[in-house]
Amino acid sequence: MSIIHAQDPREDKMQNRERMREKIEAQRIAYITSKLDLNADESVKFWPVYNEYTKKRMELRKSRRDLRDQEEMNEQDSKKYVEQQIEIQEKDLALKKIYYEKFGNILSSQKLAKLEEAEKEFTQEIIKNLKERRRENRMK
Amino acid sequence: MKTEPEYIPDFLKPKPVQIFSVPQDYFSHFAERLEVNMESKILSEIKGLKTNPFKVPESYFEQSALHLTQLTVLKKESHHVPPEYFDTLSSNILKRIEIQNKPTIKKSIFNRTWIYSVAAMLVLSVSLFLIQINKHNSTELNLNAIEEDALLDYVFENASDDDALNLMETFNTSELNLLKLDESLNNESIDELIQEYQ
Repeated sequence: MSIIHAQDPREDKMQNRERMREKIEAQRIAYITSKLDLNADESVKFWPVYNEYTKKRMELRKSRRDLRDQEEMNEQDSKKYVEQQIEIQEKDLALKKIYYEKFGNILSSQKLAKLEEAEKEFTQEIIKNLKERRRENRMK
Repeated sequence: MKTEPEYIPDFLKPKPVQIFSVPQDYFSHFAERLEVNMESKILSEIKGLKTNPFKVPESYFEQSALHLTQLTVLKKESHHVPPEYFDTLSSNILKRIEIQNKPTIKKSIFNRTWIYSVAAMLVLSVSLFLIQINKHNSTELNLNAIEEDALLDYVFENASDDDALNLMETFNTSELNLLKLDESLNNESIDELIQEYQ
């Protein structure tokens, strides 16, 4: 099986993507652990639940993007689009509420309050890094 | 008038006569005859032996009585048992058997459980130490080793709308459209991989 996969360049690319994804995940874990000052005990309990949360959140955001990708909407489509947008946002908030309650049983509120900020900062760090790469490429 | 017969004990009743008849004057010379018979018998036996077979030290029989008493005293003392020894003997033996049959527990502090727990403690403390070090260094992200595509994917999959807008400012539309196209091609397989990974 693995030989067949290795010969397929698309499959190869997918595997590489997955490796990269894992690297980013590891960086995120390190970043948030540091920002929230999680101890070993908190980490052991927090990360499995957090990974569960981000997986579900990712699915929701993907569905929202898919929604946005529609082209040439008529009146009827547009009405449906707006409704669905709000629906997904509601789901996003409901998911956050459920999981923040779970996090609250693991972390102190003072630590939990920093979570969203840390997540945003991490994304900003990535964007910053991408921008730097762009600039470097232009200068070459 | 009838009177009750007088009670006579058995031994007073007249014995039947001449059940064991003996020759006349048998008992009058009985002792003498017995003596003569024995002497002749013993003498004939001794004659058959060369020397006296039962030689004993001189004045052996004078001391013998004393010897015997000493021996019996010794015997008594050598096998002396504490009082009520036999009352508790069986239960004592049973106790000893029970002790022997009990599984022996190693009392040494260097047994396996101890070594394992120390090893576990060491591993735990070392890893905690490393986590502490890692925590202080990890704020510095190392994103340069990660491919650009993967970082873009991350932002699109995890970031909020604001972040996506921020990203759009950086990249021109054609690049983003290409990215989206690529993503839509692979979204399903990515989801499968994520499920496997998590």
